[in-house]
Amino acid sequence: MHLKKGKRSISTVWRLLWKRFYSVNSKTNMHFSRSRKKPVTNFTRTNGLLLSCNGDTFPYLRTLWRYFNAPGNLMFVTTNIVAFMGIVTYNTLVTISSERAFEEQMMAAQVSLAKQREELETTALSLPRDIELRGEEDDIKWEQPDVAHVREDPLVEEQNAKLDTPIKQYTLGDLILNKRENVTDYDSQRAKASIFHMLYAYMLYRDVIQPTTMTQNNNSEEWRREVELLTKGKEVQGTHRRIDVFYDLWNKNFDKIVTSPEKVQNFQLPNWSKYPTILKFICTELHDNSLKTLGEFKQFYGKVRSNEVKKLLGLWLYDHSFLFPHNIYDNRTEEDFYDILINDSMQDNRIFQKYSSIVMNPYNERTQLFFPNVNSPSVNKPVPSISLETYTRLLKGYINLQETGCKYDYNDNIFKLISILKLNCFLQRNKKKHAGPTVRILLPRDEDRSQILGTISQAEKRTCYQILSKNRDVVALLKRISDIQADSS
Amino acid sequence: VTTDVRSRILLSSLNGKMSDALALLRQQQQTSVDVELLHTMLARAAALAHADTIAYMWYQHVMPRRLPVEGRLLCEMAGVALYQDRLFLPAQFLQHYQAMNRDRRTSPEDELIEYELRRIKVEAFARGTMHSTALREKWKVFLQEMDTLPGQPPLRLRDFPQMTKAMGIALMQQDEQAAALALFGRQPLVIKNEWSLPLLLAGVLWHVPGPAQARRVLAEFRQSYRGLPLLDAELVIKRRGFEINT
Amino acid sequence: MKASSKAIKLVLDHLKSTGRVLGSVESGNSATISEKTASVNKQQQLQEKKPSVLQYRSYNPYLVKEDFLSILPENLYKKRGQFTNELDFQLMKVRDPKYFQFKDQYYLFFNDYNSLTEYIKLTKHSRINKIRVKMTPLAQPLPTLLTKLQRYSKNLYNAFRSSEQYFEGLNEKVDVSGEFTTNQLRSILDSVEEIENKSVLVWNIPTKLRSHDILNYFWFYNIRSSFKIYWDDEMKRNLRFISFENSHDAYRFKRNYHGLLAKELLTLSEKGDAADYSLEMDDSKILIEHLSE
Repeated sequence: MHLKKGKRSISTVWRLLWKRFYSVNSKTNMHFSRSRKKPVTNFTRTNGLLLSCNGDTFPYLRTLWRYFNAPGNLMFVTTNIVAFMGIVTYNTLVTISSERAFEEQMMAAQVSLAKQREELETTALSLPRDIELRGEEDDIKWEQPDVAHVREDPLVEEQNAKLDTPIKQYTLGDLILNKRENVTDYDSQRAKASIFHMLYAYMLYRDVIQPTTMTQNNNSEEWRREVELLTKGKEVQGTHRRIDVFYDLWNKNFDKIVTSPEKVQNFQLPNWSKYPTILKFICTELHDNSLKTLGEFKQFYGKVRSNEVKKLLGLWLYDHSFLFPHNIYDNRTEEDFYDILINDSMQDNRIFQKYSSIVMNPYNERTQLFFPNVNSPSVNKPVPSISLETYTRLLKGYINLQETGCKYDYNDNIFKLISILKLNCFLQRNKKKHAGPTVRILLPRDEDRSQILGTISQAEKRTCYQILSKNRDVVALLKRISDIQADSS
Repeated sequence: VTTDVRSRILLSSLNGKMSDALALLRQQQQTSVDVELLHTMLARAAALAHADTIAYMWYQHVMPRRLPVEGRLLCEMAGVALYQDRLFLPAQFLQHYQAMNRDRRTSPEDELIEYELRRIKVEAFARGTMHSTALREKWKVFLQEMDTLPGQPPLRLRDFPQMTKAMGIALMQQDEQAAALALFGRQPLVIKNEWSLPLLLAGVLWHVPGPAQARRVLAEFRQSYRGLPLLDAELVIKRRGFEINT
Repeated sequence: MKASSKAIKLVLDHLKSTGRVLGSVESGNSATISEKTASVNKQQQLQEKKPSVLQYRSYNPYLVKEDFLSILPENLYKKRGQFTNELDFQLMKVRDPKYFQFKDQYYLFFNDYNSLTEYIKLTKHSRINKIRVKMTPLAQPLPTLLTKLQRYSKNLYNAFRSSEQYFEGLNEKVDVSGEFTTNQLRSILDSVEEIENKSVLVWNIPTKLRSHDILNYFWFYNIRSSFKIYWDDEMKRNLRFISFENSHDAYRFKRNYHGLLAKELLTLSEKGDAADYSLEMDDSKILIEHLSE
């Protein structure tokens, strides 16, 4: 009896809190600015709050209100209620130490984040950061392309026959046929033309600023002549390679030109036998790859070993993702590719930010390209979702950025990622019999959020947390967040 | 396609036997069309106004595979589709062209093509709804496509024969006459091009029964607008022999 | 930062103005080409003359000068509409001298033999509409070519003036003056272009419609004159030459009426009775070609 009653009251509390959570959430900025000077209540595992749970439900309510009225950062408080309620409902049934430890860690991580935010407002961190990426040569055997020889037509003396009819009758003998050329669709050709011209210009730039002493002699005579044309009498050698700046200028001034339908239709790779090694390799790959799908682009990207080229391709893909068709449900390779891209751009603030926005901003049109959809009957449309593994990598990326201590503060992003993880996780049954279900994270748009998340049952959430608490990576990351705080204090 | 079949298809289309060429092509594999065959057949079909070939090539090859087609050829194809009552094609041609030239700053040549494809889309709508839908709807489609053209080129009545004809049919009904005049007042969309309203005026003037009504229409128009280019209205008045000073 | 973006700009500007991409143009000197053309044109070698006209064969009637410019390296990184023409050639769409029909070929007129070989060299691997371009130096001696051109030019000019002039002029001989210069060639091309801009050829206008009916129905266009240049009663085919006061009217006329069913034109012009055209007219269509296309 007593237990049932308790349960009911808890569900009422839940409903109340949800309402409260949403209404407060929209005003957080206001509260936030008002409360910026107030100290944050310091929750740690040892302050006894969590340990005071003893199976009785009513003390929880009291604790909750104390929690609510605590003179502290309201945003922190509101986002934590969900986590806290998770603990409440869970602890009414049974207490398992590992889960509780996990929940506590989640909270501890958020507490430390809130602290850091406070500190950052008073003292802004700014450290210079300049990471140069060294390229490695792609040393792959390359074959000389065949150059087709076209026979010249013999000259034909024109007949001066007088015409009596404007209608010409052609005969089979008259026909002048050209070599058959297959039709190619615009998008894949456009991708090839764009990538080739970009990398050609980049390689030229790279060798132009190369100090003369460092010029590699393995480049061909012809290529060196092209470079000399530019360096003659100019003081440009020895400057830093600026991949970002190069990409921006190229994309703004050249991309639209080389990708006009007419130029794309007539595009073909030049004879690349005299190119520098990397460019030779790129041309061979572009030639062999049809580049029609993101999967094929992934293959191409995977074969490139030069970090510089990878970086350029990363920047390029973000702006040209519309050239590849979307799959609706089966995006396994695409999601793997996203994982690779995130991993490759870990050290690169700009690309990392671009690609992470695909997950952080559900309105980013690329979300549909990279992530498989779950068909959600509640909103009657497919909703993209991301695997826990990739999501963890994303979180790790932001923590790395935060730890390197650069001029930006990534607290908000980390905060957002954790709260999305808490709210949007769901279970996906595995097709294989013996493997258990896996946790994925939904990426709904704002208008669908409450409807979709409403369909995830408490039991499912609980199982998710259970799995999360056993995931070493997640736990380790949460610990790192707390440690950042420890270091900075 | 064997070289022999390919030659025969080309030969038929060069000799103006488009139906034969198309029949032969239909028997071949989907993937067998090469650039020269596709292009020559389209060019011949456009020049000879053979709409079946244009439609077949469009639905089977150009549209599904997103193949580039020269702008001038596309305009020609659109005009043919319009007069052979393939009235859905022009809008698709326009969409195809716009998708390929998305956010590209255009050359004068591109502007001509864009104008043409939009014009034919408007004409196709007018032709398709010749005896149905109110004048207001046709006017709205006109504004959506023509009035929004970048660079605000001059818009002339003679370039919209189908719309002009549709206006005549609409204006035979009493309520539509009132509606036409009402169009001088409240507009369905914000108007950007100074040539848009004068075109509507000239179209109405072309169909009014006599000089008395023409005067009333002009007065009505003047109440709302001044300083717009009335070149076409003047030409129409002169052509119809009305003695009115504009 | 500044120095590095300076280097980037240097490279990009260089590419934009020259369009130099290693491996896209045949390297080495042009000796091989000149030998080849020389062996073909032995006669001209004797006369110490070298061809300056290239012929490009194609069934595609839609090509314009820009298409032949777009395949030059100098325009690789330039937008259409901003192309340059360093070699300074002129393009002509070749038409027959009597009925002005397209003859599936284009001529590129160069100022001299050197620029011609240069063009061949630079565009050897280029494509137009994805088809590898094949340019043939024209074997005809320049005077022969000019005579032909003048005949075309004269007939076109006569047709533009009136039907009488055109039909009378057909039987006249063309005066062949002694020396030809490239300037003469240019002036012929210029005057031809001007008239072509204002002229259209129209197939299948119903014979019921006379010249004055046409002027009357198409009152919105400044038509100078219109006459039947060819007819075949058996096949029920006819071809009209219509000249306009300005090129824009000619262009609009073509765009606005190409592809219209002949019988629809009859009903529009209120010259045909319902019973009449259904019997007489088949499904022939008004086909219009603007000569400047």
